[in-house]
Amino acid sequence: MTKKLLAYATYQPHYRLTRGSINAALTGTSRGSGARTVAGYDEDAVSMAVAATRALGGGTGEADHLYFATTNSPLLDKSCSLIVHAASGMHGRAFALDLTGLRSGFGALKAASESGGVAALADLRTGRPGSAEEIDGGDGAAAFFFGDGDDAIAEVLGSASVPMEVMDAWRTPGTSYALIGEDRFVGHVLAQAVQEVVTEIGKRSGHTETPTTSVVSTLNRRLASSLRESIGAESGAEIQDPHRENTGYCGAADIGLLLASALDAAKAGDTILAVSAGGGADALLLRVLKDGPFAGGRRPHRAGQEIGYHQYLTWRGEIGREPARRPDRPSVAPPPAFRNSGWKFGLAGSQCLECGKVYLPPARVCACGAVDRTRPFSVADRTGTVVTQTTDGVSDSPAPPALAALIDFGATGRLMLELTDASPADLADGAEIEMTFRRTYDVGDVPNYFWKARPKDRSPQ
Amino acid sequence: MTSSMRDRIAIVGMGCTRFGELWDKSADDLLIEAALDAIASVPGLRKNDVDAYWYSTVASGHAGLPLAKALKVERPVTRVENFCASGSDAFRNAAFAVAAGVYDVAMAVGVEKIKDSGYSGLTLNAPPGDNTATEVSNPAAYAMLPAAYSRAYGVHPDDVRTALTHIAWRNHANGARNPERAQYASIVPKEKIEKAPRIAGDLSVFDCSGVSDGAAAAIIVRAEDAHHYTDKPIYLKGMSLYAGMSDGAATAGVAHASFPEVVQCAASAYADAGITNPREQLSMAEVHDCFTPTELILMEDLGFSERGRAWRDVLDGDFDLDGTLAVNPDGGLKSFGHPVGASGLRMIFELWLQLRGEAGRRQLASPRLGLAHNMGGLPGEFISFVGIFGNELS
Repeated sequence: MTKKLLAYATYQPHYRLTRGSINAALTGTSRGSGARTVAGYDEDAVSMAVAATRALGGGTGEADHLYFATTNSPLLDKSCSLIVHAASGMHGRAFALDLTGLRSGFGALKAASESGGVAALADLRTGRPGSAEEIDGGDGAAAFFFGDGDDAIAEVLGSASVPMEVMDAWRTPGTSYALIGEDRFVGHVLAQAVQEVVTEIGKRSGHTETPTTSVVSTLNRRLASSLRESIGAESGAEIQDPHRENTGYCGAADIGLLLASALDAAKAGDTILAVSAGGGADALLLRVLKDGPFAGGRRPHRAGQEIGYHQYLTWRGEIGREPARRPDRPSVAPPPAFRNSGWKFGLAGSQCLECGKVYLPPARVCACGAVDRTRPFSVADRTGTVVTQTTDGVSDSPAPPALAALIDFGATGRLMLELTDASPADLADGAEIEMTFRRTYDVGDVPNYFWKARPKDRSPQ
Repeated sequence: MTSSMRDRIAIVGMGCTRFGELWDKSADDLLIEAALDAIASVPGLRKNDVDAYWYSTVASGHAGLPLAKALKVERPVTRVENFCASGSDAFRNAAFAVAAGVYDVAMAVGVEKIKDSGYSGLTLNAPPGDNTATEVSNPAAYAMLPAAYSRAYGVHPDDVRTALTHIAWRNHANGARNPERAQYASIVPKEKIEKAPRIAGDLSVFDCSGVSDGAAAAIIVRAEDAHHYTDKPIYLKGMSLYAGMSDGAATAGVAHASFPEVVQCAASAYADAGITNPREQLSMAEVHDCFTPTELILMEDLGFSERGRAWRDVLDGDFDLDGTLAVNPDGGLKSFGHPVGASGLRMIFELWLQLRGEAGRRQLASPRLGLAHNMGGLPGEFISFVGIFGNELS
């Protein structure tokens, strides 16, 4: 029994790296068109998954399942889906699970479509300098919420899988680049897999007609295009080609970004076939129930800020920049982080039930005299305004100078915050900001997360 | 509710080291120098005459033991830590103990060895926490002040900048008259200050206090006993310490154009000292010029200037050495740097010199009442101390 698609959202980071600048840095010649997306220095798969999941809206508070898919999990052993869960406002009895590998994006979608709940797909693609994986890769996230509801966006008609044990792409633990099978061999195998999966899904779902739209996610750009064409759907190239040109292949999140774009452009009654090609092929067939783009859906695309190749390598940790002469950051202390989870992950302060004053972070004792008379008060979804701000060339930052601002949340008090996805020129008193969950720093390779402010509407959602 | 400290205790001896990058001296060396100089400044006083010690340091030692060990004393020693106001608070608690009659002679001594860390600026090791503290350096936190001040009072940013430059210039010029002790004892031309590269917002290093090592100490006795020790005691006229609830930045209003903790603290100290018009009644003030915009705002919060007028009074030279109310005649934190545990006592040391007529090239004409303002924290969450001293009993 499958569930219906109730909401979807994507997250694309603010930064872009043009392919010309990569080639210029490595060869002296600015060859290549388009750009890839680049996660900020304070972003990772977890933070981007949180951004996409939160963009789904409040309905996810009722979701019973969360599947987090990435090939770039910041921690092993520990389930990072628990961080996404804590930072996304989901209820305290939900089942949260990590999935990994390039096929995990499809896996999360399939699992959520069957059990209901949220599929959060997020990834960063890196590769050896100058490799196709680096140049044609991208960073981003997509989230889908499945459940029962009368106002659904789409229904799932079926899914199918053709698993093949094939060395098409693999990566050993601790390395930042994939090893790839020979192009023609991989193309040969995956073409066969896609053909079989299309047949199989027709059989299983009873829908053998060619879908209105098809999208194929696979590592190799040219192969993705030819596999899509082989399905024969009229529509899809106009989604897939710009995605590969302006975003890039986003690993486990890629199929989610393609599906979201297909849904944006769909009309009621359309069918969409989303295929993940790699290790065989997996496919999901949906029928759209109403015309897109959908209310509460995605914001208009804005061009991101371009960065240089050396900056990109620095942000990904490939170039070790001289740090500021500042003390080491405090190690992450598990007990305080656990006790203060509502604040650290949910950005929930407290509001005094007696006088209404809001404290950020929460306070047990109110200036009015009340003790333990509070309710949680989150400002994670609030728009704030900059009261006053400054550049900070003293604090250590991978993108100096750091920026800090005193943010006013209206009647709810103020907070001193770091600003991200912004340059000093973006700073103006009175500017509107939104909150964003970030990987603020690492201590001994252990990531620390908290919230920052960024100019409102920084990137498409 | 409270009883006044006016004329209840006196300082009868002080010591103060040179402040600076003192690579050849340890925290113990500095402590020994300041403490023994303070004792030696009181004719006939011996180490064993000091009944109890209040020892302030933020990061150069733990507990009272470093003092007992360095000075080889067997006495009550209390370590005091209250951010950048630690030195003042050591003095405050020693004063209370003497005023209470528990001890006849107490010493407050502050020391900080900052430079050994190798870090830029002042840093603090925080206890294990949830790692949600916003990473904002001290210069950046204070760099938010000038724009907030401009906006709150409709003052053109260029006028604020010119006033900040004047503060930096003047405090350095005062420090140039203090070569025995100041970290920086040279005049810095205004043009150089204006052109210096910015490190945070509109602040350059010339808008920031230096970073230095140093120590200072005071010998405290009951006011009625003061003349048994010296012919020229200085008397505590009033003091106040105030810790804010740390939601100053969280409260709407003129946040970042005023420090509410300082306003409260000053009001309490003035009431203690019977001061109704600080601008007229005070001869001088040592204030916490950790950054130039801090000093600008303090001129209003301490009641020296009307709201929105401090920039003008600064530019008019009112707070210069030859102005109507000399501010930071010794050169302030700008010239001395800020060895955190020592700074509060270093401020009192300048009052000690000035009120006794021993300030040499900086000497003010017959000062009678002076103020020391010392504070710690960041805009929105301050500890503030104000002490007022005079050279006569009222």
